[in-house]
Amino acid sequence: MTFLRGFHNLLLLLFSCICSASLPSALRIASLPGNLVENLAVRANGQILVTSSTPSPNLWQIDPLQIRKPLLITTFPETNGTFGITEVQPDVFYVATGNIIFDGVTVSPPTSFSVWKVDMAFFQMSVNNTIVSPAEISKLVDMPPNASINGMTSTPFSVYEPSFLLAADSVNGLVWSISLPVNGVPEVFIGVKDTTMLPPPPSRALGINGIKYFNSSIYCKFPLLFEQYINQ
Amino acid sequence: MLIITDTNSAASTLHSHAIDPKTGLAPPLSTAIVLANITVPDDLILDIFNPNLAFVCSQGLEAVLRVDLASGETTQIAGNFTGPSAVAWGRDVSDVGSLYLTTNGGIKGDMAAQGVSRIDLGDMAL
Repeated sequence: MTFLRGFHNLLLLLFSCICSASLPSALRIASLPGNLVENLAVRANGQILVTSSTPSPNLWQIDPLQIRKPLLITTFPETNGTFGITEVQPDVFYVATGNIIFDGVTVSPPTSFSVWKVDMAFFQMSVNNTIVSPAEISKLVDMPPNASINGMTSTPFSVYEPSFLLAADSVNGLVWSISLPVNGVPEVFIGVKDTTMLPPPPSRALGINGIKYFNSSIYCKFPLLFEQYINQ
Repeated sequence: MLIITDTNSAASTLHSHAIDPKTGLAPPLSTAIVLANITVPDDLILDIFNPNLAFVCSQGLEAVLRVDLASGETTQIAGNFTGPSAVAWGRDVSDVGSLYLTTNGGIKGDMAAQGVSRIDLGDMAL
């Protein structure tokens, strides 16, 4: 019996070693109860920006080390939700905001979208978690009335030519392009639209949802997919 | 030409699309490439260490999946999340190989589950 128990323990030990080696661990680092947590971007200093919806359009900063409590960076006017977030220049982020209508049973697709610029470059907080110097918030553009933005990404920033925000529209099944001219007014137009972005009929659920740009500097290591496009 | 990678929640698919960085438009005649099937995907992140990998939130499986973009093979790397909505890489020295995950409470609207988690990938990122 002792031998068997020892053997059993050895098996357990081996099994737990195999499991811990193969599956990463997950650790909760922040709770935001009551916030419909939607998307995130990590700042160069390691702090995490989190967008959320209802009851208010919150932009949170989360400390990955859990030393500081979640800090409300800002809310946005005229709306109740924040969605996609993307960093275009160092510590300069763009956030999609829109209005969610909840009738107590179902959540309607959000409407009345805008895109806001959130400049964190001069943002400062004190050791007791208060804001000393706020983020600079300004509206970039109001989206067309039918737009409904979910995920958002951006093309590389250049001082010579406009870069673009690329915003996934889950309801209309397309990607909005929003130009970021060095000077002048941003333009909003449909960048990509095809059937792969629509919910398969008769579904009325969300189509295209997440979206990420693949960094051009690593094209050379990604020949398979890139060559398929070259050959098109 | 740039490549974007995108999910379709209702179709449970992951695709890539081409974008011309000078115009913000899809190049003429370029079409989507289907990369993988993922149960009700939400947002994703591409692998900064291995360009053939993406990490995708699956609302349907309540998990984060590693996706081989060449083969379409998916592997669950962490699960039991209620409403995994988006992932992003850590950018500090100690967490550069870790993913941060937002959870929105899922269709149940579980407020206790709303927040941020860290997944330490180790070798799974390679």
